[in-house]
Amino acid sequence: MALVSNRRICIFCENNDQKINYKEIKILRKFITEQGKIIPGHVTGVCSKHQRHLGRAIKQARNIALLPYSVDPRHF
Amino acid sequence: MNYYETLYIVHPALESGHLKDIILSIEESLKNMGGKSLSIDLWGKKRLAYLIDKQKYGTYIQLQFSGEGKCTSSFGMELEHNPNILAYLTTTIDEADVVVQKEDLETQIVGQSRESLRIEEEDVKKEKGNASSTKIVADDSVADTGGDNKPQENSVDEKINQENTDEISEETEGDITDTGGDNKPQENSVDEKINQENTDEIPVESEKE
Repeated sequence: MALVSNRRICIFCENNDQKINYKEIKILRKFITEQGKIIPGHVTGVCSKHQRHLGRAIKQARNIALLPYSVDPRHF
Repeated sequence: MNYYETLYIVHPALESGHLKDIILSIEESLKNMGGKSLSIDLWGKKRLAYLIDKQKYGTYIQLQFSGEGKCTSSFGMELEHNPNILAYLTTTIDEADVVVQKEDLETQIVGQSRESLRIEEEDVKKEKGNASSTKIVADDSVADTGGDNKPQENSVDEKINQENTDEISEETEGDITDTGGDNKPQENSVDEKINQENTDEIPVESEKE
């Protein structure tokens, strides 16, 4: 019996137009939780290469106050 | 020669005139350090994700420039020591990512100042809306729990008093109709009944005699 992989394809590998940049907050917000934590790649289906780029972009956006470092769960 | 992009946040209190002076002074300092500014893009006043120097808002300015690697470190120090700049971030970019400046700095400032005013007004409205909703919730909680215990007790007392008065009124009505109100008349009524029974019995006895 052949193994069927449930692995999703990375959305950044699929669309070459979608670039990861710290200024694109709308895209980056999809990859952080409500608390501001970075969601791991195996959950979102992003490949390890683009997950590295995402992590860097999110940290840069946090540095310039475009994204929060942490959000208190009581303020949701 | 490399291409760089610096995004810095200027203090929100600085309006059009002062803002232009600061942007131009930063551009000049960059030129002195050997950099060449390519474009300035004013993002306008935006809400910060967290407080920086106790400020909620900040004016974002994106400056793209070309130069040697040395100029970025000295430019960074310049921005660091400027009290009007809350935060900054310098990144390397490709030549293809360099944006062509469409509008003058002055027209950008005028346009963004209007937009920032609109954004601030919207934020104030939202905050007011949130405050009113929280007030309503607070009022509901007061109504539900009584806030302190005293009002709740009072309300319970009032209810109990109302019930008591109702019961008393019913009792008094019943007493008035049945027994005549107080206990004494009730006893009297019992006595009367006994007397009546006795009187009923007496004639029978008398008849027997």
